[in-house]
Amino acid sequence: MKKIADALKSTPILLALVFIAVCFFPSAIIAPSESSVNAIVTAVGLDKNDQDYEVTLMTFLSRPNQSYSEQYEIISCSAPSISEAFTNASLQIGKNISLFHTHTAVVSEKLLEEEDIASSLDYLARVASIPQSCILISTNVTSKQFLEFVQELDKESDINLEELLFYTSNYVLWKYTTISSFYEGYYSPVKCSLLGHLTISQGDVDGIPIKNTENVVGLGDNKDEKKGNSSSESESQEQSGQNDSVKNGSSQPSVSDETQNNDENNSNNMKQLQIINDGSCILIKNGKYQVELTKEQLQGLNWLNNSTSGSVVTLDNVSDDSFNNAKLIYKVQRKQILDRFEFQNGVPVYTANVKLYLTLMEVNGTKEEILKSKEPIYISETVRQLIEKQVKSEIMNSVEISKTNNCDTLDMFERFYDKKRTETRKLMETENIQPEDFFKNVVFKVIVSIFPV
Amino acid sequence: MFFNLQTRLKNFKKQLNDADDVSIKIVQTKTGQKVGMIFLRSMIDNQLFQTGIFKPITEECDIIDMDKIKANLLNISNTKQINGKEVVNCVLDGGVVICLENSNSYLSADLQKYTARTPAEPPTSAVIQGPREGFVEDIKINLTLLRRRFYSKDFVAKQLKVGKYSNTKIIIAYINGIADKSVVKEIESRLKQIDIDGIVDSHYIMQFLEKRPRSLFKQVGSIEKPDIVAAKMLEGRVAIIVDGSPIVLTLPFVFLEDLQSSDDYYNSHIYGAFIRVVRIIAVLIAIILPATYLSLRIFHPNVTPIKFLVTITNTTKGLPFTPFFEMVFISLLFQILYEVSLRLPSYLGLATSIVGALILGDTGVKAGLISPPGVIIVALAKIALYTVPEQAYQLSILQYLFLFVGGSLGMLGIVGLIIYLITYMASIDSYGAPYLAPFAPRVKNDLKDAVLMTNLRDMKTRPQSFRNKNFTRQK
Amino acid sequence: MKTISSRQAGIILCVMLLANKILLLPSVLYEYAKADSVFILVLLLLAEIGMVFVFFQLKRKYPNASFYSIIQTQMGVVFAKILYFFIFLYILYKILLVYNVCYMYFRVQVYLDASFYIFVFVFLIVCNSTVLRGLRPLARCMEFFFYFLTACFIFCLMISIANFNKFPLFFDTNVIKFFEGGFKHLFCFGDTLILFLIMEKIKLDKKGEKQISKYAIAISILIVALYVLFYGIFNHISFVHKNAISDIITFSYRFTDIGRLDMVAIVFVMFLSLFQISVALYIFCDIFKKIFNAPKDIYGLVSFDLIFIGIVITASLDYAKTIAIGTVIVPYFAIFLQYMLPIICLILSGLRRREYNEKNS
Repeated sequence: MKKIADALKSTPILLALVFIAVCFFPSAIIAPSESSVNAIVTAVGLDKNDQDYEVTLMTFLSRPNQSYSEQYEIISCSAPSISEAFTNASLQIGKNISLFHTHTAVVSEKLLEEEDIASSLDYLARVASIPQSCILISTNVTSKQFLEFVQELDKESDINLEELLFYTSNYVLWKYTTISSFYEGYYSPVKCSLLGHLTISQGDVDGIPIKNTENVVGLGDNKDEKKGNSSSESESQEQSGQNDSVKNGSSQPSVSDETQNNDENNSNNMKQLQIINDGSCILIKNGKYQVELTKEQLQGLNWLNNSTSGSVVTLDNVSDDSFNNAKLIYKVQRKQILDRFEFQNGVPVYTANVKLYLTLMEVNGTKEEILKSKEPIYISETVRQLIEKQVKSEIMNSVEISKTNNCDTLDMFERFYDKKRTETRKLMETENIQPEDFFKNVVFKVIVSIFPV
Repeated sequence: MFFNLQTRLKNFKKQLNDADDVSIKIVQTKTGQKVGMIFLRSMIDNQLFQTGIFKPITEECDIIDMDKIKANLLNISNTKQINGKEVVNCVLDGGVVICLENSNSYLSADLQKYTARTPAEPPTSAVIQGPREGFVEDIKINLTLLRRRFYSKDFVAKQLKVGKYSNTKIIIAYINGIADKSVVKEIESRLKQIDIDGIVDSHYIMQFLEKRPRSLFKQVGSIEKPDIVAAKMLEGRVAIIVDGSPIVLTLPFVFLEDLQSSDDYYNSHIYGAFIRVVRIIAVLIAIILPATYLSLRIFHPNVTPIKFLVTITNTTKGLPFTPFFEMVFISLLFQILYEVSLRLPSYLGLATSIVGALILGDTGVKAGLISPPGVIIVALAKIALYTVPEQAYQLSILQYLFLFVGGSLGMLGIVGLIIYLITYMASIDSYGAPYLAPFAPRVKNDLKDAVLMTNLRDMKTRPQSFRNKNFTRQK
Repeated sequence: MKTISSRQAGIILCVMLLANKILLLPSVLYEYAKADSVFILVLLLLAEIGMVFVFFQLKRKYPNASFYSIIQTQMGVVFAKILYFFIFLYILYKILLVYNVCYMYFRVQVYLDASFYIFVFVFLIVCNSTVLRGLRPLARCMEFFFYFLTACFIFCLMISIANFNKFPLFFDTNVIKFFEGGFKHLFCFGDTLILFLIMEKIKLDKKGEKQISKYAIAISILIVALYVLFYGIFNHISFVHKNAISDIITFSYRFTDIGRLDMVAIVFVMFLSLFQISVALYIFCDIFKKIFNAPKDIYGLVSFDLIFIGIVITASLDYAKTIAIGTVIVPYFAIFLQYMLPIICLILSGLRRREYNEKNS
């Protein structure tokens, strides 16, 4: 015994090893892989049916496979609160729900209209440790339907939601549309945020179609439509067999592939469902739906935002020395906004000098017209005026919509407060204006300068 | 009074336990005077004996006098007069001891010869461009290999003998004027204190020279090539050559030394710096990678990249082992294969590869016993060990240690163990050199030859991490 | 006595200056002073740097003396023991604070519901063993990882620059709130006290003084940069993000494909917390030896281990309680022990010398 003690004393590594062996080896030996006791969720959807919340989880379920394959299942559960819905889902699949890898959270327009989504997201952010960088978007259908659609999209093509949104957020959207950015707006004095909006639609519109829509609950055809391929058929059968007992709206989990009683009359119209990513977004005030901004309306706000790129200016019916009713499309290569914040007679005036560096991208006109405008830097005085007019009107239009909905989408309050603190305070005190209402009082002056590059 | 020549020689033979290879010869000179000789047949050069000793004594010597005999042994380079007490040792050293009737003095002629390997490139210190000779088991050849690099009076080689039965020759070599005398003295006194029956290899000596003999970490440099030893001696280190071993020891030793290779100095210093960085990465991979993988699987799937997690989860689904068992199993499998391939004759190497790679690896994966990521991780870690072959065994132990800790405690355990080990290493002192120098403590000057090495022309001084007599290397 | 170099002392100071400032503090300070918390930080960091200069003065006057012996000389044995007892408690509190904050951080970020025994054992084994090796190996170990840790910290800052949203709104706080915030969070500052407590073990010369000051200033700048970035990224939601160094990296979803880059921050905090607790524990043992005349470090260690395990198992000082005590009681001790005591010692030593000179003349 003494020898052992001496050996341990003189060989510290041995001492450490023995200690670890005694204390932790037994648990280490039997410890299973964490990934086998946790269900990895990559997307979460939140809906509300009557009084119950419905949580939809796009979950990665492993299948023994030597090659790389990602296969996801849609699991949904309803309960009076979100935490209970999560607990139910966890119980049903026999695994902990792990939201660490969640990259997308979807909320339905309906939920946004009904209540403050900050409270719905609270559980996810507080307890479930959903990454704050998780993309947060809204959709016109239920988030469950949306995620089911996305799952089909993922199966059928190389396009996946994460990449789609990543691109969009960088090039089209006004701001990042993440949980973090939502909260930032929500807790700001103006209490206003923007959410990305993806629409699922059918019919003759631009978008990414999927053929196999019979799996999408409530939207797709499940009986008449021929199966897209044999593998999805077998999978569908297998899953519907597994989940016969679970139904929507109960506290039981329901899996996407289950069949639902759809109106058969709709089935023919629903064959070509499409996901439409046109860059539109939703204005949120106090966590609630305010208004949907179209791509064009968003563009108006984007002109005043240095960080967005990829804009184009389209001019119809241009007539000048070189053109006669031609259509010109200019690409914005660079954009520079020079701001000025001032008070004129106690009225806050925001002057933005928008410098646009444009390149002619496309000409829809006659052969002669195209030849005349071969140079990419072609901008005539008329064109210049037209562009200025168009940009100004887009900006003012968007500002007007924001004012109507009382949403300070341009952070005017904070920017004025930062630059002209005394005057801002004075105005707010004298007129008894709340920070969120400050935007209404701001007068906008826009100067557009065009530079061909 | 003098004993009879025969009796005297027989007495010596008796002292050598009447060993069969002890030869006694009594010959007569031209004048009929008897001359006795005793030697070990197995240790001498027989041809030289015939031409250099036997012939001159029997055919050329006429005056019986030890000096005359010595003068006649022209072919023998090393002859000396000894007394009776030294006879046995000289015989054991491969000498022929000559004695005369009516004389108490003896003449020892060094005729030692045994089969020795010719200097060849050692397998673990191969270079692309640079000297290819390596040390051999013969101490004389080893000393010659070193001597050839220092045509200077300042090259000092002190010989000692260690081992009660083996009487192994040990040479302490250093450059006078560079090496610190106190280090030399300390090494010498430690060697003299060794009381062991025999020294078979320099690694025996190594353990006596280490200040913390029970430590896992190597604290004495072990080098197989004379050019490296010469470079180290020029830095102020002391070399210890042990007879019978192709490994020369150097002291003081710092951990960084094994991350350096002679190749680094024979190429562009930029490449040298790059390859050192690669070596460090390899060492980190070897030690930490399996442990990190295991801890990610058991404790931290939340920080694992999703795509990697998908691969892991898919490929490990349905394995009969827990993650910990799986990794230990694959590691042991590799270790067994390594041991087998090391000991098996080379003609069986192919068979081992087939068994290892195909049957155990591929079939194991296909049968669902082990997972492909586990095999890749362990294989990468095991291969990475040999980027620093001198430390491969130590690193191998550390690899297991980290694996256990990673599996039991996760990332925090791994970081904790790293701190634990580095603090331990920082507390080691090798003959005045902090073990982690020049990083901890930071020795600015020595950083020039640390990871991001500079050009030789910029290394104006010798290392300052340990005591040196003269720091200036070039002006 | 085995001393440490001035560089090593500078590195110890850097590591200790980072303690408690890079995780929770930015978020809790925001509740008091919003983005002006940066100025609270700057003020208190300037105080830290000021204390470094007080340290130099004291060290010049007493090159080989310990802080304890200085207090003893200036104020008497009994007073020294009482003061050291308070410092002893204060250091114990600091260890628990670092442990609790890091424990919460690791639990949320890396360990999924792992047993707290893992944390307790890792902290205890590593810190006990490093303390037993002595200050020099510990300082060397920190020196060994210094570049790595600095690179990690700078990496975290660099990577999060991409997430920088807009400059936070400065000068928008009530003065009372501002000072209240500063005062209540004094428990996260005052790490220069560590230098005083190991002053006899530091080998210091003129060059060394410069070196230590340089390190202190550089790390202070980096900490301020972290705060500016943090408030610039999170603005109004700064109070939600309790793990500043990690959260500034994970703000953006751009890096999801290559995994969580905040792993760098996690490893950085792991190293840092173990170092901080080790240094504090070393000082704890040193003080224990001085107060109770214990012959070896092991007595201090054993008593610490027992206290620590007792506190952790009974949860008598968990995360919330530690912070609560920190904001209510500790500031009063902190202001005296961290700032006033060294200055008093310096003034008294100056007065004594003047008296001595006057007598002699």
